[in-house]
Amino acid sequence: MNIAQKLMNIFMGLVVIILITLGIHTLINIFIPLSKIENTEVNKSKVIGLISTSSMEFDENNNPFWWIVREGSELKFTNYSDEPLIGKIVLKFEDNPCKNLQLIDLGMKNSIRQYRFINPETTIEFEIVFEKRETIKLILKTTQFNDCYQNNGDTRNFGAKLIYWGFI
Amino acid sequence: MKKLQYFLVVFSTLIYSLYRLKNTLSVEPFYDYFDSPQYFKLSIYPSFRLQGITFFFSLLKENDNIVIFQTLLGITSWVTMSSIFVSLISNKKLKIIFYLIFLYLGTTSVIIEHDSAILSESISISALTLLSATFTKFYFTNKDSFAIFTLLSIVFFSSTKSNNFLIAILIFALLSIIFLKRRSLKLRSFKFLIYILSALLIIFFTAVSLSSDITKTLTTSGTINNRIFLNDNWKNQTLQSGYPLSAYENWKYYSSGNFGSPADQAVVDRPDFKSWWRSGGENFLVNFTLKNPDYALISPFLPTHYLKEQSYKKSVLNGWSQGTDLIYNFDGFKNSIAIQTIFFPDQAEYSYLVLAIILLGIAVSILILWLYCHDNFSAIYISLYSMIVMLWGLVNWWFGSKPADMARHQLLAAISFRILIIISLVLVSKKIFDVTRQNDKA
Repeated sequence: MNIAQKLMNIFMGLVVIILITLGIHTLINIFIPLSKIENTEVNKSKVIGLISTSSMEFDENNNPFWWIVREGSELKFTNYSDEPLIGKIVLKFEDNPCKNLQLIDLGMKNSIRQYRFINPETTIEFEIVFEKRETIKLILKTTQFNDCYQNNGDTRNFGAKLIYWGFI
Repeated sequence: MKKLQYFLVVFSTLIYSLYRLKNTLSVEPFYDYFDSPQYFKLSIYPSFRLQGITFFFSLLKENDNIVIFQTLLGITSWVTMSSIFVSLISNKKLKIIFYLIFLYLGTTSVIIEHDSAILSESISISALTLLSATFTKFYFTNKDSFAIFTLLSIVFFSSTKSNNFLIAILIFALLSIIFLKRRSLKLRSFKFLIYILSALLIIFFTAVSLSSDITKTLTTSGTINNRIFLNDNWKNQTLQSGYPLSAYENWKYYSSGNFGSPADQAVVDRPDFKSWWRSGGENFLVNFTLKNPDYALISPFLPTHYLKEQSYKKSVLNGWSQGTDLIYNFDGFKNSIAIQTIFFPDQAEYSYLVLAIILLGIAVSILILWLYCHDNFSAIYISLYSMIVMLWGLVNWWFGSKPADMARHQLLAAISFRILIIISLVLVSKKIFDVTRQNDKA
């Protein structure tokens, strides 16, 4: 075997070793851990988006909020990533302007859960599983002592004020 | 059999062409308001974008014309590549099977979605396919006409900046093969003239790609802010080089929302960054990789080893496994008929599984050709091709793109691995078929 042949063999051997190492590394360190739904390579808190039937408004500190109307408002959460995700949706609510909020009904996938509103701020957390790029619709309704209209031309019957949402 | 073969080739080519054209006509052209305008500015020297793209875009002007042009070029180059690759085998059934496999890979949304984007990817993919095919044909035959086509393909291929990292390796490989085959090649004067002209054009494109600092500044600032600043030791090295801390703070601010400029651009627009760039920042990345060779070599494949907060999404393996995904990221593509084939599964973990199978498959192909078939010529070809793609990916990860754009700049490497596994199977099948036939005759 001449030197050129030996060098070629060394080169081919080196390439084979690199390819096998990378292949096994990809399989063991990336594919297998990622196959569990708890493990993701995306930052899951950043790939969930919200579209609401209520308009987004801003308070005096430029923080966004959404008014949930008493008849019901729809929140659509979408997983924009290409991975299934498991986590908790967190929603924080404040009372309506009439301060008469009692219960928040949350409808999701043919089930309804009821949460008691405790002043001044109530946080609701629930576990949720998203398939890749899945949109999940939540219907929020409120139970309160009376209707809550404002005498300023706004025709909405105010339910709860959604001041924060997140996916953790 | 011959008629059936002919019918299958014509029919599948026709279906493939119609499918790709229909997809382009079904979606809106994707126009990136930050990147696309630069591709319409045709200038000779200096130039931010290279003339292989700007010439066509400024000539065709309208987005609709450009996407049709890119699609027709894509169809032509993909069919040409598939035909050239299958011409390496003589068995008719295998020819048809592999021709269909190549076309199947060419239907993948990751590949054809770029036909509708007013960016450089579509033309780069077409150039890559032509280059792979002509280079392969030249390697396995003695036809010097393919050497000319290879050179012309390199000219075309070097029209994209990130591809220029490969040019020196490609030219070296091509010259070596020409030298080894010099006795069997019959070079006539007009062909020699084409060699010289092509070589001059390649040198010109390489010079043009170095004539603008825009990509280099963005890559450097992006790499520092996204990767290097996450480690205290490296952060100190960067600050000692004079990199302004305020540039990093500015980057964090622009990354937190839409403030009218991409974060990397906001950094390079700052006077303190420009001052740092002029006083040595230009060579910072090269010096940094030389000072930290372990990080430079290993982190593209194992980012979590160095930075616990990083995931494999930042690794070069992510780019090689998943490519890009415009269909879900751009609303104008919602009517796309492009499919996700098994070569590029939609779900992240399966993409990694496919990549692992491809890498191991290529390795096994080399071993079969080398140790079982004793066909060192083919084994060297696959090894060389693999090494070029891996080095290209590695260099591109560091110097060719902003970390935010990493997957887009690894796209050609991702496609190359898919092409490579099919060629490997072509060569292994050919060899095994030949050996079996010889045994039967004996």
